[in-house]
Amino acid sequence: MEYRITGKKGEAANVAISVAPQESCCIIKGRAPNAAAYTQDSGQVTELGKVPLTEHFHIVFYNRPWKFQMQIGIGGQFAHSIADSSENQGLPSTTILTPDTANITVIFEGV
Amino acid sequence: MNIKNRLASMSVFFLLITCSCFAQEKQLDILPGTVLVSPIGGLNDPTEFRGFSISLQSGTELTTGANTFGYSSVSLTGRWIPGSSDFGKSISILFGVADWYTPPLSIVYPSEYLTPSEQNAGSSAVGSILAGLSYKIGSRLPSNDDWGKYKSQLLDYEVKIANAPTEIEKNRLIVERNAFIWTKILRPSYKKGILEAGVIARLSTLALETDAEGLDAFESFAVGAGIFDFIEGIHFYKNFQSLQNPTRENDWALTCTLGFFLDLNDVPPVSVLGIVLGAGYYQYPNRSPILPGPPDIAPYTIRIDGTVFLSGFLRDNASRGSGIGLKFQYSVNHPLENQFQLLVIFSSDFLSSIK
Repeated sequence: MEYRITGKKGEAANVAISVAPQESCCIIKGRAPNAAAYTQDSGQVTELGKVPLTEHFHIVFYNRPWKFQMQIGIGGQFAHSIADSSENQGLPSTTILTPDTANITVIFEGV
Repeated sequence: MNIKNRLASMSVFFLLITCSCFAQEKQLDILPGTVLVSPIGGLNDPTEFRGFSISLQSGTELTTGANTFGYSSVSLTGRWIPGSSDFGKSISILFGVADWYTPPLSIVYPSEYLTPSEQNAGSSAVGSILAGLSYKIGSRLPSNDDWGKYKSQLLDYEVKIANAPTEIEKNRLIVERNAFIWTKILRPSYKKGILEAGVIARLSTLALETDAEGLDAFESFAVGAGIFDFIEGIHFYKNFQSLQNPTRENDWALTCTLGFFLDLNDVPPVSVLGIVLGAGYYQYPNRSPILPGPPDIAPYTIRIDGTVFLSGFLRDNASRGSGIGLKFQYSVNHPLENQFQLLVIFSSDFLSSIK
C-alpha cells in the first residue's frame, strides 16, 4: 500500500501507529539494509523526519484477528488515517504459521 | 491362536483412504497423530479449527466375519465448526455416511437359539446417514500471550529477514523463523489438553434392507508435551428398536481407545509414530431357546486390538498423513477373528478452504 500526503517543505513528517494485539505483532521500519524494529506502536505520534520524506513500514501479524490503525500527518495536521482489521476482510479468526503482513509506503511530499 | 494361524490371517489386507481438508492447516503441513484414527469408530481429533473438514475412509473386508457390531469399512464423515466466538468455535456439527456392520447371528448364538433362517443368515454392512453434535472444552489455538513470550526473538527474525541481502538468504531465514514458531509456540499450543464430548445418531438408512438405527455417545481427551501426544476416547453405542429386526433392540457396546503418538521430526512436515490400543465390550440381546430346555442367554464379546502406525512418509503428496500400520485384534468367544491386519493410509487435502 502506498499513501501520499502533501505539506510544507521542512515541516515535521509525523506518524502514529496503533496495533492490536501488540503481543503477536511486529513492526519493521525502513528497508534493507537499514530496516529496524519499530517499537512506537502504541498510537503515540512520532516524527519520522522533515518533509519531503519517504518511509516504509513492514507489519507482521502472527495471530488473528488483528487490527491496526496508522495516521500520517505533516506538522500538527493528520490528513490520512488507515485502519484495518482481519475480520473486516473476511479472514478467519484463527492462527496461521505464515503470518499476515502489510507493506506500507508513506510519501510526504513538499511544496 | 497359534503362530501358523496368525501368519495365515496376516493375508488380510485393506486400504484406508483418508482425504481431509483443514482450512488453515494447509500452510502448516502438520500431521497431528490423533487424526489417524477414524472419527466414527475410534477417536475424534479435537485439534481441528474453525471451518469445514471432511474425511473419506474405505477398506475391504474390514470386519467381515467379526462377531462385533459397529461402523465398518467405508465411511464419509464431516465436521463443521461454524461459530466464530469462543463459544461458537467449541461446537462442531458432525455428519456423514458410514457402513454399519452387523455380524451373523450364527456366530453370536448357539444354533438351538436360532431359527433355521437365522442360522443361515449372513452378516450385513449397510449404509447409514450420520448426524450429530459435539462440544469442546479447551482450545489449542495459541493465545496472544503465547506469542508475546517470544516477541523479542520474533522481532529479531523479522529485522534479519527485512535486511536479508539476497532472496536465498531471506528464504533461509523465513524457514528458520517458521521452525522457531513451530517449536516454541505452535507445537506446545497444539498439545494443550482438550476435551470433546458429543453424540452421533444414525438417523436413517441408505438401503431398504437395513435395520441399523442407533446412537453413538462419545468423549475424547487429548493432551501432549514436547514430541509426545496422548489421546483417549470412549464410545457408547446403542441400537434402537428396529421394525425389521427387533432382536437388535438391546444391543449395546462400550469401547475405549488409547493412542500414544511420537513426533519423529522437530519441524513440519512431521512424521508420527503411533500406538493405538483398543478394547470393547459388546452386549447382545437376551434370547430364549427355540425348543424348551436350555436357559435364556445374553451373549457378549470382548474385543482387544493394538495398532502401530508410522505416518507422514509420503510428504509430497499427502501432508495430512499417509502412513502404514500393523494391527492385531483379539476377540473373546470368537478365535477366528483374531488376526493381524496391514493398514495403509493415504491422505491428501482436496478442498482448500471454506471460509
